[in-house]
Amino acid sequence: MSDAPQLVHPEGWVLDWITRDRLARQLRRADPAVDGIVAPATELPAGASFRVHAERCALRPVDALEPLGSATTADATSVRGALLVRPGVRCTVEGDVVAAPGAHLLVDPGTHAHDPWQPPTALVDASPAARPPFPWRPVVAVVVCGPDPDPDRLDWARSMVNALLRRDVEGRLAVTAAPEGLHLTRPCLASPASLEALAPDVVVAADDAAREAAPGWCRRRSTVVVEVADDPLLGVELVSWRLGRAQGRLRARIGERVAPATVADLARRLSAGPQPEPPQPKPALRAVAEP
Amino acid sequence: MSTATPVTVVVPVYRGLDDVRACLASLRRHAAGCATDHDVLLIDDASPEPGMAALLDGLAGGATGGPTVRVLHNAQNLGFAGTVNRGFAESDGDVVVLNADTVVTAGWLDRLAATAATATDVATVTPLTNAGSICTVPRAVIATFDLDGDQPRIDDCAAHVAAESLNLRPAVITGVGFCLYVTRAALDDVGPFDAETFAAGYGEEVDFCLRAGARGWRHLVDDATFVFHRQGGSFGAARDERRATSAALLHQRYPTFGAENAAERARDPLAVPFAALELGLHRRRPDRPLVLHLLHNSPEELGGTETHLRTLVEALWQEFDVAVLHPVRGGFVLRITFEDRHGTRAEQELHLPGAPELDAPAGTGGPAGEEVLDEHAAEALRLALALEDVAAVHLQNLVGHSLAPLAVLADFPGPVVCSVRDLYLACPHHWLLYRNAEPCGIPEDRSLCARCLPEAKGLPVEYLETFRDTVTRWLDTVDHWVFSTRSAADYFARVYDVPEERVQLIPHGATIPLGPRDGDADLPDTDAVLTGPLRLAFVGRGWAKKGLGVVNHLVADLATMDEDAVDVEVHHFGELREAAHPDLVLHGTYDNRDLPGLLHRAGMHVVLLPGPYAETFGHVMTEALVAGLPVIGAGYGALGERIRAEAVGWTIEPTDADGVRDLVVNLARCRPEVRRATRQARRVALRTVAETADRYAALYRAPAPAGREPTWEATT
Repeated sequence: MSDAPQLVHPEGWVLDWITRDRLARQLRRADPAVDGIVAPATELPAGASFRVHAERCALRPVDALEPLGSATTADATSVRGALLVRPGVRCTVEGDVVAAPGAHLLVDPGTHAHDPWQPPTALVDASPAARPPFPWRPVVAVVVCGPDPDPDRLDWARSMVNALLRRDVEGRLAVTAAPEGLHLTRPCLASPASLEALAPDVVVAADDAAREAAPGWCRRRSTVVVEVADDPLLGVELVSWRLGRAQGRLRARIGERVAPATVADLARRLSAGPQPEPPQPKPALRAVAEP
Repeated sequence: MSTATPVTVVVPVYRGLDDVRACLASLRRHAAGCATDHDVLLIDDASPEPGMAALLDGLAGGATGGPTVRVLHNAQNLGFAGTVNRGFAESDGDVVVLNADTVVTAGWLDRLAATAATATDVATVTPLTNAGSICTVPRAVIATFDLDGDQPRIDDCAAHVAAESLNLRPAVITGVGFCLYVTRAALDDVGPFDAETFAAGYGEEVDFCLRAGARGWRHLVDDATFVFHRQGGSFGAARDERRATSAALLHQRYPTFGAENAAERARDPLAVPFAALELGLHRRRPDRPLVLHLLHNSPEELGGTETHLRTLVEALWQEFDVAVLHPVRGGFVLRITFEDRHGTRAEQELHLPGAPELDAPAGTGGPAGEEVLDEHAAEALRLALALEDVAAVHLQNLVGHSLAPLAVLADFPGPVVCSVRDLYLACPHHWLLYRNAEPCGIPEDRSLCARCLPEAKGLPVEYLETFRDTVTRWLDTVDHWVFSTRSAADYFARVYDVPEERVQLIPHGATIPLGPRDGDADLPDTDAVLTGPLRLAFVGRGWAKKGLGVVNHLVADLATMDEDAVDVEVHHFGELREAAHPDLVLHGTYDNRDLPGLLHRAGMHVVLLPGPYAETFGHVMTEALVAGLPVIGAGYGALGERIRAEAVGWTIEPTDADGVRDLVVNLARCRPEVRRATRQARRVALRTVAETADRYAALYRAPAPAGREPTWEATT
C-alpha cells in the first residue's frame, strides 16, 4: 500500500493543479485527526473555465476549512466533489458522490472539483469572475449567436473551447443555445455584456451572426476577431493589419478543421498586438510628492 | 597629362645647398615618366652660401629625358614671395611653387596637373607631405616610412599614398606653400603674391589663397601625391618668429580667417583621405569578410544593443572582421577590428567628417529640423564603404544615422541585415506611446499622431508621412529583417510590407552570464515564496515610460491594505527619474551583470515590468529569467509573447493600474501560483548571444536575394 495520500473523485472529473496542490498542503498541515480534505464541486460562474474558477477559489485563506456542510450530498462522510485522504483511509465512489465512511473530512472552499458532464444550466451573461485572476493565458471567446444555431457548429465551438483549455488558452463559450457534451467551461449567453465581462483577447466568430455582431460587442481596444470561414478546409489565413488595409478588429480566418493547437498559436500571436483600436486615454494616475 | 603651355616649376633658392641638390635630383629622376610638359626655373635669391651660384649654373640647360632647367640670379635678396613673383613673371602657364627643401616623387606633377584640371575654378593644388600644415600625413604614416629619420623612405611613402588614396581631392580654404600648383587663370585674375607685406616669407601663399577664394577660386588637395618636405631649410631657427609675424598680418587683413581655419580643422577635410592611408598600413586578410555594423552609439556603451553587438562580434571572430560606424558630435566614427596578414588582431578608429555645428548626432535632432535623409550620415556611410571591401552590412540601430543608410545601401552588392531592436522605423517616437502615456498600437487615425508627435518629439505629422514614405521607398534595401520576437515583426507589419521570406526571428541571447539555473543549489528554495512578504522588483529607469506611475499607484493602494491579509513589498532597482511613493524601497542603479545577484540578495520573488510601451524583446525580462524569477509585464508586445510562450509570469494592461494591483494582491494571496511561475522561470531554456551567432553568420554569408516583391499575406 502506498504511503502517499490518495486522490479520489468520480470518473472523468477534472481538478486543476492549483486545487491538487492546495489539497496536498491542507492535508499536510491538518490535525492528524483529519482523514481527508474535500474539494467541492461548486458551480462555475457563467463563462468561467474550471481552471479559472479553481484559481479564484484558491485566493481564499488556507485556514478557511469547513466541516462538511453545504457540499455534502448524503451524510457527513460523503461528498459531491473530490477527496484527498491519508493513506489507508477507505473511500468509495458511486456516481458523482465520493464517500469515506467513518472518516473525519474537512471541506476546503479554496478548491474546486469539476464535473465536465454536468448539463449546462440556463445561459446568462458572463460573470466578471470568469476573468483569470492570474492572467497569462490568452482568453479566447468562441461566439455562436445566430437565433437558430447549427448544432454541428455549436458542438465544434464546444469542442474547440475544451481543446484550447488543454493548450494553455482560456477558451470561453458564448452561445445562444448551450450544446450538450463535455464542458471544461460554463457556457454563457452570447451578448455584448458577456464579451464586456470576459474582455477576451480574441473573439472567434463562429457563425454569420457572430461575424456580424461580435466586432461591435468588443469594448476592449486590444480584442481582435477571428472568423470561422465557410470553407472548412481553410487552415489559417491572416488578414493584413497593415495601415490602410486593415479590416478593423478582424485579424484572421480559420476553417472548421483547423487544429486546436494552430488556433492556440494564433491566439497567442494575435494577443501580443498591435492593438486594432486607437488609445482612449484614461484618467491620470495619482501623483506623489517629490522624494 | 599635357597642358597647352608648359608648367613651370619655380624653385626659389636661398641657402641649403644639400637640399637644393636633392630637390633637383628628384625633379630630374621623376621627369622621365612625366607626361606633363614642364620646365624648371631655379631662382637664386642672392644666397650667401659659397658655391650656390656655381652649382645652380651647372644645372642649367637640358638633360636627356629631363626638363629644361633655367637659372636666374636675383641681384639682391627679394625674399621668398618676391622671388616667386619673379618666377610667375618669367613663366606663361601654370606654375608649381616648390620649396627647395622638398623631394618630389613619381607621378607628382601629372597628378597635380590633373587635379588642377578637374574644374575651371581651381586656383591651387597642394600634395600631401610629411610637414605641411593641414596636408601633413598622419603620424602613423610618418612613423611607418621613417619620414622623421635619417633615411626617410620617401618613394615607399609616395607609392603607399598613390595606392591607398581614394582620390577625393578635398577642397581647403588655403593651399600650403611648400609645393603649390597655381593655375595661370587664377594668377591672371588674382595677381601675384603680396611680396611687400610678406617679404620675410611665410603667409604669402595663404594671403594669395584667401584673395583667390574671395573671388570664387577653390583650392584642392591632391590626396594621391606625396612630396617630401624637410622644412626649415632656408630660414632655419628664424622660422617660428617669421611665422608669428605672418600670422599677425594675416589675421589683421582677414579678421574671419581664424574662425574659418578653426572650423576647417574641426571639419577636417583630410580626415577620410588620411583614414585611407592609415587603413592601408595594416592590410586585412583578404579571405576574412568584413561586416559593417551601423550603431547609434559607441560600441563601448553599456546599452543592450551595444552589449549584444560586442558579444556577437566575439562569437563570430573566427570568421568575420568587423567595422562599426556610429555618430558622434560633429561626425561619425568608423572603428575597424580585423585580423591582419600576420594573424594579429588589430583595430583602427577613424573620424569621418560630419557637421561640427550640430548639437546632437545627425538624425536625432528632435525638433522640426530632423533630417529624414541626413546627407552627412549618407556621406559617412559612403566613405566607410569606400574605405573597405565590406561583405555585409548590419543595421543595428539607425538612430543618429537618419534613414540615409537605406538609400545609400540600395545598390550594395552584399547582404544588408537590419535588426529591428525598437520600432523607430515605424515611428520616430519609437516608444509608440500616445502622448507618452498610452500604447498607441500604431493607429489608423492619423489625427492621433498629429496630436502626439508634436508633443512627444516636436515633429509635425507630415514628418511621419515623409519618414514612412522614405522607409517604404527603400524597404527592399534590406535583405533580412531580423526581429527578436514575432510580435515585433507584427508591429512592423502594421506599417510596412515585408515579405515573409525576409523576416528572420532570432531571439536575443542573454548578454549577461547565465549563472545558476534550475537544480542549482545556489538558487533560493522556491518554497521560500510561500511565506513572508511577497517582494516585487520594479527594474529599470524609474519614470513614467517604464511604469513608475502604476508602481506608485500600486504602492499607495497596498499601504491602505491589511498587512496580515496582503503582505507585499515593492522595490526599485535602477535610476529614479521621477517622484516615487515613499514606501517604494529604493536600491539605486546597478550593472546588468550584477542584477540577478542583487535580486537574490534582496529576496525578490517577482520582477515587475509595468512599462506601457510594446517591447520588441525585453532584455530585463531575460535578466529576470537568468535570476530564475517570474515576470509581470504588458500583455502586448514581446513581454506578452514571451510570458505566454513560457508561462513564466503574468500579463497586465499597464494602463490599468487597478488591474495591476488586483493581480499583485491575488499573487500575494495565492503563493503556489508564484511558485509555479518561479519553477517555470528556472526551467526555461535561455541562450547566450554566442549561441545565436550562427544565425547571423548565415545571413552575412547569404547572397542578397533577387526577388524583392512583397508577399506579405502569409499564413501561420
